[in-house]
Amino acid sequence: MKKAQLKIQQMAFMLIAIVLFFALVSIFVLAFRLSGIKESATSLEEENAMMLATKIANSPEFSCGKSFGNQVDCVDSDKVMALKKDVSKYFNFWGVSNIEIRKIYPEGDEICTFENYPDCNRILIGAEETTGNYIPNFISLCRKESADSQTYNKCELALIMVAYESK
Amino acid sequence: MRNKKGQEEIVGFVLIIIIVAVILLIFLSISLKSPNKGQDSYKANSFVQAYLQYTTTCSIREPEYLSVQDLIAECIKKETCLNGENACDILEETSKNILEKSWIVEEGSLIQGYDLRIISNQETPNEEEILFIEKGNSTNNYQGGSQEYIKSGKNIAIFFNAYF
Repeated sequence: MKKAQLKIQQMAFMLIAIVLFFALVSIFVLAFRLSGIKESATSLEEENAMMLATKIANSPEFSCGKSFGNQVDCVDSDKVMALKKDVSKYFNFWGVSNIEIRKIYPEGDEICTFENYPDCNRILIGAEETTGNYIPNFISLCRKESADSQTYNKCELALIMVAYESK
Repeated sequence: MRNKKGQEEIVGFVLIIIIVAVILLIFLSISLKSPNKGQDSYKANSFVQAYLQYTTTCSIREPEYLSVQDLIAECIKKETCLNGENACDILEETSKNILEKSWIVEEGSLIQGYDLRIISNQETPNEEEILFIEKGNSTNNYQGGSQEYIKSGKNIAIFFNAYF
């Protein structure tokens, strides 16, 4: 082999080594970046699910309106119980599979029916159990109570779980 | 002579590797530092809103019971509820119970800890801490929510952080 050929071979090996090295580095950087994208996609999906819950909580069928003062993320439990009767037509409209509102303070596990309301803790709208993907979000669950023939507002802390089908 | 040239090439190659490794290390250290910072969270903010609206067991005028938001103002005025209990005692007990049921801190749980701080007249000479509750450990990865409002001429600020 001539000296010039040897030089070319040496250069070729060197170039291959450098290309391989940079390829490995690029793969490493890409993998790192992609894991970040996956993470932000998950957190974005979580935020969207929470926003869906808030959107439903603030819809006219659920929200307290101005009857409990100017409250945000406030659900009127009397309205929700009334909605339980004829809820099937609303699910297509909202694009959700089922909704659960669970009081967390005071806590308990009793499912609300027309017989035991308001002395219960879980209002289920749709299925008997919350299935599918959901991210719970905090809401204020309010109703009108009466004592000595006068009414007053009673608000409790609850979680709203809106189950949706994953895309 | 030929040997020396070969050595020079190896030194050059090693230099390239060292430079790339240093760049990678700088990139890694920047990337790892940034995500674990605290941020304003949708969930923590919703919690603060729902917490402020909770109806407590303190009544100042029958039959209405005060919300946490109104109870804080009564606590600042050192008022006593109709049932004889101090407004500040009810505020502390209610807040502790709500936090314990809402953010469960135990071994193996996602939440490492939380803290809740209620301050009146923030950043003024009359600044006063009304309530401070904490549980578990505070970490660099946290989500927070806050709310400020004016009640009975007092500026009240609530800060809540959940640590992960």
